[in-house]
Amino acid sequence: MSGQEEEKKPADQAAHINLKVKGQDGNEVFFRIKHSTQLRKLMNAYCDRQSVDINSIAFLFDGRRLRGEQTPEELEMEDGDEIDAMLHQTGGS
Amino acid sequence: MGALTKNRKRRLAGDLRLPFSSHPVFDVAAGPSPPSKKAKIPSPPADFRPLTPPAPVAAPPAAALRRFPPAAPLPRPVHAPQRILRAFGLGSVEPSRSRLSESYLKREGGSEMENLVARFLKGKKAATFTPWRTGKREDALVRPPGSQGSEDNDGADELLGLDQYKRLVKSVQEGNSVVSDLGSVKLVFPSSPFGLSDRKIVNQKLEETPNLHVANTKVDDEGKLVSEWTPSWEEKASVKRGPLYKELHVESARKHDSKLRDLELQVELAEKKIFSFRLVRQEQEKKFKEDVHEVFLPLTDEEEEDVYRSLNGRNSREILAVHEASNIHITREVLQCLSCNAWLNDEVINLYLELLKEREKREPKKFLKCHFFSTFFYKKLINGRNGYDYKAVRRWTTQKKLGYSLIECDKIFVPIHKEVHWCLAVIDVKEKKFLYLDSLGGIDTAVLKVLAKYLMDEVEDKTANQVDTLSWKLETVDDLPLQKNGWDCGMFMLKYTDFYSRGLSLCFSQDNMPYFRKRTAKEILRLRAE
Repeated sequence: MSGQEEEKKPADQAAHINLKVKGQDGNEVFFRIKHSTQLRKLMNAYCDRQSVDINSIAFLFDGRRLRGEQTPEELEMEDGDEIDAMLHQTGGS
Repeated sequence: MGALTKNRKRRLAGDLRLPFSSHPVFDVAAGPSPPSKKAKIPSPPADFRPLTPPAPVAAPPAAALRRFPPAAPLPRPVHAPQRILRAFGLGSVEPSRSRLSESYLKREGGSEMENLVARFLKGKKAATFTPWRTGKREDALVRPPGSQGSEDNDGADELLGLDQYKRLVKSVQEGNSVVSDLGSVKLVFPSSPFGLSDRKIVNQKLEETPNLHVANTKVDDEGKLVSEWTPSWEEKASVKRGPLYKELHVESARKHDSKLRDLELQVELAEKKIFSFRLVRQEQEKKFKEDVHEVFLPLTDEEEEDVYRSLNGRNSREILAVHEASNIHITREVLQCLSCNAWLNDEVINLYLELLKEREKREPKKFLKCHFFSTFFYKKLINGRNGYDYKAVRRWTTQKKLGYSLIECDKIFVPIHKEVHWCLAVIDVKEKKFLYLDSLGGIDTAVLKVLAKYLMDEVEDKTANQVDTLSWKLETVDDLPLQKNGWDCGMFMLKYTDFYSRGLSLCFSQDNMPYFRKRTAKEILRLRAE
């Protein structure tokens, strides 16, 4: 369904939202997506831009993990909200 | 008394029936008896009647007489009361007794009485005036002359009628055990038949009588003395002694009672306390045992198989567990970090921490109220442009998201990821301290200081209260279970968290890690931590 909405490209600016993805190193990447757009699109775009495997990054919104299927609308995101892109961690010794 | 003995002397002539009809002349005529003769007294009875006690009893008076020179015999006044003396004797001596034995016994009794009187005077000051008087008569026999202040015995006795005397004696016998003892002693003698030999003894004794007369008077003096001071003493005794004693007794009893009651109460309280403590302890021990049992509960065969299949399946991308609430998907690839010797990843750790929180919500009474931060929290907190950045995590812990505020929690667990190593920081809100648990035994106070600052900011931001967390203690844990390899730190960290959230001490070791790995895998697959 989201695909169809993306295709329509409604002129209503209120349907869009500015989101900031902040990497662990402090780099910030700004995205402008629709409220109803799945976050997967944003995640992929970020990973492409940062040249990292999407499976190595955990996206967090207010500390909670994000799934690609979730939308800003669903998460009640507001303009200017920040998404954290964290590298997966592992450790043993 | 001396008169009595003189009578005996007369009785030698045959008049046994009138032992008391003594004559004053005798007293005077007899004069002081040679003390040496007294010594003879014991021997005759010993010869003839070995069972009779006079010999030993008579000895002391003899000695006493020897010591003191005989006083001049008193004239008239001594004689007059002698009948009454007799009456005295009648009163105290058993009526069934024969005259002879009676008179004899009086002598012997007298010597006995000496002992008794001595006892009275020395030890029994409490003895009443009357028993003393009873003894006095016979005491006169043996009392050394001049030993005590004396008064005319007879004169004193004269004042009392026979009936009065009997009453007196009776009352004394009833009231004073010593006198009744005396009576009993006397009773022994009459039973023994008195022969001539006895009279012989009497004769010998008679010779001492003049002295005894003197003694009589002296004793009487004493008797007067006693009669002078005893009444007041008796009054005191009758008025004060009884009630005072009772009062004191009752008072002390009351005191004792109240004290006893207090003590009993205290004992009862203490027992109840002990009982409750024991109950609590039993409960705790029971809970501890249950917990420990639960913590090390072996996996069932089915679970073992399930875990084995999940870890050793082929498709590494296969999603084995999906935790909707945290949006964490566990693929086989991710879960395989729980196989032996593998390093734990954040997905497994974060999911397990989520499960611990769900467990607490499921059974809030069984587990401490805790908050489990994700592995990303600390990284985010210190990754600001200038290091510490509270704003980066400010929205992580809103009341809306958590349903509680951090400061309400007993413990807050913060996983610390250090490049290739997992550690755990614990904020013990109740104990007001920060703990750093590194399975390699390290300590990083910087982490704890950051957390202290964070908690202060957090409390100020969320509740507008001030908490001086900077003054809280920063500690490590004694006897912390440590890893002995290069891959179990994540598992240690999870178990520190698990045990602490149960309120348990960290009673596990490296040896338990393989089991904990399997158990954690099972719990993640079941999406339920036990």
